[in-house]
Amino acid sequence: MSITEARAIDRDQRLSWAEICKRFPDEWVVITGADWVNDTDFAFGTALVLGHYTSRKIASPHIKAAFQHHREVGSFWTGKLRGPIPRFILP
Amino acid sequence: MKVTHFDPERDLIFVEGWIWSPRAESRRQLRLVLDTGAAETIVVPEVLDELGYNPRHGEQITVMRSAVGREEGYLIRVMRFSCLGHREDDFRVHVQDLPEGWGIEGLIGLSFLRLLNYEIRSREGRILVERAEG
Repeated sequence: MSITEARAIDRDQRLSWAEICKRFPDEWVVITGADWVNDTDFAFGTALVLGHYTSRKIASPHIKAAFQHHREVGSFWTGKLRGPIPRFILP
Repeated sequence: MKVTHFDPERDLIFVEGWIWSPRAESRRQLRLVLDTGAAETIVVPEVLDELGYNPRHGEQITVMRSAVGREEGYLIRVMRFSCLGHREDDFRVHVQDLPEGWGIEGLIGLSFLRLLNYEIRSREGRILVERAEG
């Protein structure tokens, strides 16, 4: 993340997941302070975005640094989820 | 009975999990694919590194062979792992890299699922889970 990008994030602004996806499409976002609805689902009201990155590997050192200030940190891809390749492919 | 919701329109079942740091002072959330065809629960190496785990504390170096090639990884025990509303202490995960483009940071395999009794209701997008007895 560049300095310009870092400035673009309002550190006090809490965003919903829909707002996060709209603002940072196809990126890894690092969030903290989410008000989770329960302990099973990916459902929260709002969260604080600590950073947004094009790659998980680029995000990793920033996540590590975030743990110096936050007890809970998560990172999520805002784009399409694909998952593992299929084990069986029909010819 | 815990109920986890997922999007039934997607090709795979995506769920969220937590891993705690070695001294449980912090925890990291990650997105995983539920894979009943996988023996191990897989997590990418970055997540363990961010939490302060060291590969030198791993139990065993592993090699996974697949249709796309050969991947080296290692087995390590994490202080606590949680998914589907259930947590397990001193839980062994397989640390292995996964392609960036998948948008996930791991897979839930039978090493965790066999601790539970679960019912996947695919049309409804719900997983009903209870702790297995004994």
